[in-house]
Amino acid sequence: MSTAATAAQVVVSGLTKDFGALRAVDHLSFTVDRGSVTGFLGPNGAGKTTTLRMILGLAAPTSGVGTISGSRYVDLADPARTVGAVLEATSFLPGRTARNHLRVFCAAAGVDERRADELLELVGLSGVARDPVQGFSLGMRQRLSLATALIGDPRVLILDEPANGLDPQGMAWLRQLLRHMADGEGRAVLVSSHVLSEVEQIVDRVVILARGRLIYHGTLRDLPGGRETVVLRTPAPEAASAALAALGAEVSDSVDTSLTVTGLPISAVGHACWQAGVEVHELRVVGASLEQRFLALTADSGRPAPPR
Amino acid sequence: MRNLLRSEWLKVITTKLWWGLMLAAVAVAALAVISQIANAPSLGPPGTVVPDPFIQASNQRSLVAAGAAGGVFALVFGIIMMTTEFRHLTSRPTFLIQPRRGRVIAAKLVVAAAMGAAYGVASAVVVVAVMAPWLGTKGVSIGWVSNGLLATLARAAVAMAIYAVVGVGVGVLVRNQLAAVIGALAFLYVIEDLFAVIPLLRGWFRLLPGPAAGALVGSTSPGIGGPALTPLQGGLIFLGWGLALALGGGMLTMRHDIP
Repeated sequence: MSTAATAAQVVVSGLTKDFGALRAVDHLSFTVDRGSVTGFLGPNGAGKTTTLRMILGLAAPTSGVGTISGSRYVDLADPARTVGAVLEATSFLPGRTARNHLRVFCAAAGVDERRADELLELVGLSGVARDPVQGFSLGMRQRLSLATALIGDPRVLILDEPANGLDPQGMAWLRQLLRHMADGEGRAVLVSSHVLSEVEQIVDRVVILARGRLIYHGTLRDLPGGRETVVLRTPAPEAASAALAALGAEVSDSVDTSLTVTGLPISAVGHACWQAGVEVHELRVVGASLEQRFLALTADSGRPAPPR
Repeated sequence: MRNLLRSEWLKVITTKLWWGLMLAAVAVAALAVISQIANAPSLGPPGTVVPDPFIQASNQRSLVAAGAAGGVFALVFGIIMMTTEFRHLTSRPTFLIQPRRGRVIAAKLVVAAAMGAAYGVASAVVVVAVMAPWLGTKGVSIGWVSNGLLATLARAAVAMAIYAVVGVGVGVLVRNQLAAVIGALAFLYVIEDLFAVIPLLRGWFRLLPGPAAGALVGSTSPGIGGPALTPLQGGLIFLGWGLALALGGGMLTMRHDIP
């Protein structure tokens, strides 16, 4: 428990937000640990953005509290070096150039202006550094938003739907970057999405929200609603079985050349076989897939919470 | 605070807004001087040789008061400086990097005052550049110091600075850019005049921002609703409006969520 407490960078505790009679976020509690990527999932309108805005001090909670490194956002000694946030790719003055946009906020954060050029390089916008943002595509704006969030080299990164507007290459690049920030640099990353598959490959844990309420907090593997069962047909069942068991999967005894695997997603099963050099003749999911279970969990959540 | 001041200054100079509004302010100041000199009433019957009206110190002072004629552009500058944050949602990175909202507003007030003063100095330069040679060709000697013209020009620059401060205050109170600009203009050009003509409200007229700014520069027709304010009184009341708006609006921003 004590190790969990020290590892937790973001602690959300009983966070609640009412908009008039509408309860947008309802007694939400979860944590985000150092060195991990946490997916913040839920359908549109579930209260993800409102929650992030409360954590970031932009919106006042009706009750409850969100803290980062033990402090409320407004009390942080050095916010820019503690938290970086990407909210929506729209926070730019159209006529200001990308470089000047970063210079403005480098100055506010007390960071040397050379950081602006470094960041433009990092997010791949060096070529358009001196162009006004009004000509930028959504993907370029997302990259500039991310660069803005990274100005202070923060320990905690909070991203709201960063996949919006990114092309597949951009998405792959973002996944790699976030994974590196968590693994290589020990940062805590909280990334929201309404599409499970966008973040499935990079998250360590997920917080699933529907109608403002916490539905699930844990690993994807333990997502309730039946574990994903994979049927694998291979001419080398023993080798496959050993490789999969080494990854913690439960593998049933082979019937002819078929194995039934639980505890690993289908992508991981395929990957393990490929790495072990095992020939695969068939690979399919029986029972509920991750996506199906996610949808089932959050179903019936399009309607707003009833007034209290 | 230094970081915030530098950030706010960069925000101003990395767009073209300040430049366009300064140009407008300077143009209005130039037009005000030109029209005053060109339309000056003669002091005697036509055809006779009469002294030029601008030998009078009071007329010279009223000429240089044109240094604050473009005050409305400094006001609009201040309004846009604040409301553009909410309009283009730069309020997010701004208040993420500095969540203590009062400090951000304080930095904006200081930078607005500096830019407003710059508008005033630029206007003063143009006023002098128009009137000095023109009155020179008429053989009028200008008492820059003896007639208090330099002091009036300085007060006009201070008035411009306060106009921009009031603008930021309006923008803090009314986040919608269009509503803030239209509201401020309506107040300045319609509501204040109503105070002057409605007997019940006349007593308050001197204390309104426009007339107070006029008292600071010495360009308000005296005596509506009481004796004219001194420049110092006018200046303090005008500044008080700006700070009260920023403080009152700031207390609202503290409570309201940032868009």
